Amino acid sequence: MASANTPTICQGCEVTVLKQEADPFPPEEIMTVVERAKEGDVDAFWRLVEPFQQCLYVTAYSMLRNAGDAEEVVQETMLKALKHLDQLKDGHRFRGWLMTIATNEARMIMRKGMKEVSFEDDAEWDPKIFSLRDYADWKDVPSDALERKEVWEAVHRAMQSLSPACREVFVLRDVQHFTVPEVADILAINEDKVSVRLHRARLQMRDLLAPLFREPLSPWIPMKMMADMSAIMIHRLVSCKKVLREISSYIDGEVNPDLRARIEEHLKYCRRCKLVLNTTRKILYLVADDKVLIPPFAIKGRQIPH
Amino acid sequence: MGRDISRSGKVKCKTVIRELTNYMEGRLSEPLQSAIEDHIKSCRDCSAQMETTRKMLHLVGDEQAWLNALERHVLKKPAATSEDAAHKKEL
Repeated sequence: MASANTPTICQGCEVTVLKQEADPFPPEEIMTVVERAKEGDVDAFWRLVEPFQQCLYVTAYSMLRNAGDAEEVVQETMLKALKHLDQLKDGHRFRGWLMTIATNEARMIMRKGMKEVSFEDDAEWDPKIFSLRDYADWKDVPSDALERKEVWEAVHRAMQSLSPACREVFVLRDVQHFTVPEVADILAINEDKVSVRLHRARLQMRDLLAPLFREPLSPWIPMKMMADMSAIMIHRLVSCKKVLREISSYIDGEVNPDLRARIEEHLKYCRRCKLVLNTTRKILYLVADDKVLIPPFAIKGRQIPH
Repeated sequence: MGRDISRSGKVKCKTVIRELTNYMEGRLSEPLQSAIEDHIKSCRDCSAQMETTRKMLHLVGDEQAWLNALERHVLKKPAATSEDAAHKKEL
């Protein structure tokens, strides 16, 4: 690849990513290359598009999940770019301009495959369903985990389940790292629409990929064996039954230090007991608050049967 | 936007979740942006929401990993497009 890969910080979300340089030419050079390409210099044109081939392919593949279709998109994009180069007004926008052509090509292929594909997907949508899960125990997954088959498959399954409208926004912003205004420009929609779709896509992706982040990523240890082993280890410390019996005393700090240490060790590994502990704590917090509890309006005045 | 912030300059978890993307993109008004920042610092659930989103973005946002994965799982040969390029060059 002609452009150097430099680690950058993804703007806004502070994710360190290896980002392809958006502009592989020095600013004063790109216009000369574009001009020469416009005049029909195929070498210049080739110099212009070559650095973007891979990023076009990644975009097309992640939208279509088909190698043949992705290749077709890249080829068509190159041909159309060559044909319509005179329509490019600002040389610095070249990458975005190419991406506009590629997105349109990808949309056309998607339309061919399905009877009706809507790229206007802003129906009412309830974000609540994505906000109630417990995400606190997510593990770190290194980004090169994407190279592992099961992760790769999961990411693509998740992306395919996004609506086409959300998917293209997600790919352009979070895979290709265009900024929100650039994405709006590429897709010819306004920035608010971009950010609504992006938000949906991110929540949905995170939700769908949750299993990857929860389970240990070590396929060579059979899951069943590992589960058995950890169950044995936990029970050696103290049984779930005992933990649950002692949970109130534990919360009140009334258990002896030895048992306390064993319970804490148990809680580290046993998700069920931890859940019981957390919910009990929350209930205690709720009922033991020194604020006066005022009953909700609807039950005011209702007699409490004795 | 004003109604999302209480008089004491606080926001609810609901608002944080709704505006998380805009917050991460830095697209909110200054008072809301900093109110959410303060909220996330003190709220475990909301900071977990943001952390997990970051982890997901970190996974899908690495271009080099994408290229390697594509080569490993999709393209059995290195990018076929170089042939097309040569072909186009001749046109």
